[in-house]
Amino acid sequence: MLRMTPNRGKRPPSDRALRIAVRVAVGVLVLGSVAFGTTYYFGQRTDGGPTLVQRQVSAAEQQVRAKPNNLSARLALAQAYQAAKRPGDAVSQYDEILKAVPDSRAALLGKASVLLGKDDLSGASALYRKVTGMSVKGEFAGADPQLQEAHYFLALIDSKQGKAQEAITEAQASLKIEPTDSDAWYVLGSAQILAGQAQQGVISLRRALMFVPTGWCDPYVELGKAFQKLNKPEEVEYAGAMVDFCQKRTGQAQQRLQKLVSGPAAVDAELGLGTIAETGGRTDEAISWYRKAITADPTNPTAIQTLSRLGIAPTTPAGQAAGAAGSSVTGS
Amino acid sequence: MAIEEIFTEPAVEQPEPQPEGRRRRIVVLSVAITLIALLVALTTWYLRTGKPLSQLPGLGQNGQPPHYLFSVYGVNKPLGVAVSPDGDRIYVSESTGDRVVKVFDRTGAAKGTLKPPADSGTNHAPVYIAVNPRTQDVYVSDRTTAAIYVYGRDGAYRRTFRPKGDLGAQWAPLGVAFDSYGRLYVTDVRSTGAHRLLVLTPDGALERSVGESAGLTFPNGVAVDSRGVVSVADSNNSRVLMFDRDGKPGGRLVSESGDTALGIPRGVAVDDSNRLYVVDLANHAVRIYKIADAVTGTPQYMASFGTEGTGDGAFEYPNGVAADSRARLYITDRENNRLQVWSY
Repeated sequence: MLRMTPNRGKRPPSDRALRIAVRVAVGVLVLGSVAFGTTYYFGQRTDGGPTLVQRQVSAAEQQVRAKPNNLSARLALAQAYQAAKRPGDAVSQYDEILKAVPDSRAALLGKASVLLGKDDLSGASALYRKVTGMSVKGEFAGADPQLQEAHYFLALIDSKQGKAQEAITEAQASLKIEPTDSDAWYVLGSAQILAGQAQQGVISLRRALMFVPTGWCDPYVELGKAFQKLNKPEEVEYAGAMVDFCQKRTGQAQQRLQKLVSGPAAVDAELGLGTIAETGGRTDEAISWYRKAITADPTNPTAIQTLSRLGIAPTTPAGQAAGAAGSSVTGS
Repeated sequence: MAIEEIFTEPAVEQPEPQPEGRRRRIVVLSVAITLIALLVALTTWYLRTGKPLSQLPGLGQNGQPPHYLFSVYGVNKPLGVAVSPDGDRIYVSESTGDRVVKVFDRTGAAKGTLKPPADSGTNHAPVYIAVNPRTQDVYVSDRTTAAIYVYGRDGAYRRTFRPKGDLGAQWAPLGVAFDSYGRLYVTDVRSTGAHRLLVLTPDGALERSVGESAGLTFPNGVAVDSRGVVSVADSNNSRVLMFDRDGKPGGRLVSESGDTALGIPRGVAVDDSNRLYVVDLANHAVRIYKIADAVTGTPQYMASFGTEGTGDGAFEYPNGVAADSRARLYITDRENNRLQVWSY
């Protein structure tokens, strides 16, 4: 202690310089960081302005202000409000149109869709039924997209309300107009399962999945329920594996499907493995799985459709060879 | 232990505060100097590149897709887009309305239009655009007049680019791009003869015709990377073909399914980080690939961005793409009548 005492009141110059240097360095660092942060912020900052939907609303509002009695402008405004997630304003505009033209199908469908979005099922149902009531005997009822829309949403509402038989009728009416509507096939399949028609439900759900085989989990979940009712454990396992795949657990899905390729759900499992391979960009492997499926079940519509899509003729070995050549043209 | 000892001993053993404080200050000073050096390096890098921090060397190649920044409105069904290397001028071609090329600054503010000469008639359809890296001149292909119009950076019409010889009477130029030497690459969708890629010298002499035997069907966008490898969107064959600087076939991107599907590839661009961008019109998305190290290699898929829709960051039939040196991407969103700007 004694040897340090003389230094206590008098610091060596180098120590003072060090202290100053630290202060300067920290100051430079802080100021530099602030300067860089400011430069970076203003360099990268962007002012996007109004979105497309906001612009559409503004334009439609201007149109209605300029011509308040123009129903097309009002319809555009209602649809713009709907797109902008302003259901109250959208309904007001649809009501204005319906005051002038009570049978305007566009306004009825638009308002019904807003009410459906607000979970007002009975309100929406009444409007959709009005559309079907006035259109079902129309000259072009067999190819009327607005009528098809009304039937589809009625099926959806009936299904939600547990009215299985009504939902089946409406979904079938919708599919009569648009047979490739996968959503309607799904609603039909779900309603059929609800009505105790599990076997028909499986057929409908398979149709839905034929059009949209990936990225849509609900049909596989419903398929699982249907197979459960039909007491088919391997098929239940297949549906569960496809739900795994759909929910991005691809490895797990593949493992489950691999175990099924020699049992009663073999064709489904092979198609599932093909779908997984195709989605992963392994086209050759996918084709191999699809070919196995079609060998086991030559009339399987999913296998036929999928191989055709890939440019493979699925029927004979000669056709397969031709198909393989075709696939190489597209670079697979 | 005596009470005196308890109070006196610790005072004797206490370390000297001055050397410890000195050591601490030296450590603080060293850390501060290191951080200042890093800050200087970072600032220099940023001022030189203008790129976001996510693109710092070593960070920007992790396969992450870019994010949406903003949109430029006021363009009618835009098709092609080009950007000056520094991102200060953005050029967008319109396929309806006035059918001109509109010019914007980096914030999206309108700066003017590029209009073909009056003696070229009134029926124009500007499609793809390229900026000559040597002169900053803007080259615009015109579908209806089968011409390439050249404008200065100031927007003034300069001339009509014509290939030498009788080539100009037969061609139908569509996609355009430059390499670093100022050579012009043009996809030719002529009605007589096979579709092809033309490589032209700056004065219009034909240096090479590429891809006639590759079965190109309506090749659209074209881009040249830093090694001179040319990527051509072979649109109606759902693929992108690569050719080396001698015109020999190299890698190819073919349509797979899912994220790697290529429905109708249209615009292509390469950025200075060797990322290849391909706009897929049919899937309303942009695919990103990492250019292979080998000249003949196939680019490796990295990521995709975009879905169909009208919201911010969604596309309705996107067509053209351009990249600037600030890691910004410009994509024409045709049916939404806007140009979208994305960044990392």
